[in-house]
Amino acid sequence: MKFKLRAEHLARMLTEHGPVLYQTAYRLLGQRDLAEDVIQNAFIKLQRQSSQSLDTLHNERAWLITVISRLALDQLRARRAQPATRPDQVPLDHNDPTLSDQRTPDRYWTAQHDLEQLRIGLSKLSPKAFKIMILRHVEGLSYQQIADQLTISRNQVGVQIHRAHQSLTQHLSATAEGAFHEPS
Amino acid sequence: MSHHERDNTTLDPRLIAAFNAMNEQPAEHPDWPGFQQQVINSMQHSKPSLAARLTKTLTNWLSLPLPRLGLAASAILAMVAGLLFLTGQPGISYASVVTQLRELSSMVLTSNVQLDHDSRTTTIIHYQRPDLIRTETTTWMRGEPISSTLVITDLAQQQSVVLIEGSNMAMVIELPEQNLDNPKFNPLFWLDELQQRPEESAVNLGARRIDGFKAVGYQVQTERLDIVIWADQQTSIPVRFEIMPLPGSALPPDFNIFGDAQINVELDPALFIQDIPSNYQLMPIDVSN
Repeated sequence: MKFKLRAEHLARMLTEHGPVLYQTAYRLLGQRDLAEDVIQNAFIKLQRQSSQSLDTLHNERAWLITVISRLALDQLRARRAQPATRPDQVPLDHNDPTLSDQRTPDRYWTAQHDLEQLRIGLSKLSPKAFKIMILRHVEGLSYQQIADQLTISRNQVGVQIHRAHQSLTQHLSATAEGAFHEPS
Repeated sequence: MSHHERDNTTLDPRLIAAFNAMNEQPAEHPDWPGFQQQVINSMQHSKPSLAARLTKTLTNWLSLPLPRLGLAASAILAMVAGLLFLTGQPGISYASVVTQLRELSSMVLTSNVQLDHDSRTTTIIHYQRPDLIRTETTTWMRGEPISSTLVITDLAQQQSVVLIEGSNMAMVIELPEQNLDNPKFNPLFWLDELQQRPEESAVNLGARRIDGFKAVGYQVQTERLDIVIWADQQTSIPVRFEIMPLPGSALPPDFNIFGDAQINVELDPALFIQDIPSNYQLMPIDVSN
């Protein structure tokens, strides 16, 4: 019976928060199958945890974002670890309207390259910094909202974001020189 | 987004553009109801298998006083038989996965480990049953290979040859009996434990896409390890192994994922020759270590 109640609880959470969680996972990973894996694995993990942890949740969505961010970070790191997935070998989604306003091929490829490099840069952050960057730049929370959610000071949030921005900027700059040329 | 205004005053324009591009992706799932049902199905299958739960129940009953034992055992055995008959499911079973493992003749596995932000290792293992293992580990720094180590182990001869590329150093290590399951020399030390576990002890984790395959997962605990095997849903052939030593097992607490599994492929015997190339310098080994 406990199992059934837990499954119903998780199914409700999936209905309520799933589409937004999928959006977050997709934006971070840029591939539908990877985003689906993250969502599916998150809920399987939750299903296998003790029932108490679900009953005492105050902020389901914040908790789910924590699980999703950790799994997405693992996916990004795994992707970075594979020799075959150099940034310039990531398959392009030609139907992706995201970059359709890039008027020239050069700008299109550069934007595509920067987006992939941003993902690689994010994968190099600590799990905590990675989560803060998700909350800030994907979830759109304010410093104070992030501080409340993570139970840390607003100042600590600012420091983490500043350092993460520095790290990401350096990564983008370092990868710009050998950046991208449209394949012939 | 208004909350970005403060950040944008100090942020690199390329970083802003990249974040904007990330957030402008069309992230709605094209078939959310269908995918949601798939996740719910996976959750339902992630509970312990019926056989495992009944085994646990039976164990509890066996601890009861003797007068009740006969009745309890009879009732549960009848229940096991009835439920297994009623709930027989199509598709692969853990038994079919274990059969693949017990009958395998060769295997190739790949493992990637992130060491820190900039470095990682890639390990490719070739295994020729019953005794030959070749482990090639490459260390990468910022995407460039910086070193490579080859360990060729012959468990029957109880000997490993280690070749360190770059420095061209070689070692010959005689393996004492107690070191034959040392992860350093035998990265497949878990295979025997897995093959010997009773089939009913596995927990079904449901289906997932693994390394391009639709796979079913099974979790098995041995005395020292927590092992998850993902097997191709169509063929029962394992495609990934996730190995986690249990606390107190005296094994290094490393979580290893061996993926891209290829089972029963033909391996060149030359892969396992323990000759030391003439341009390599043999290093003395302190056998006490």
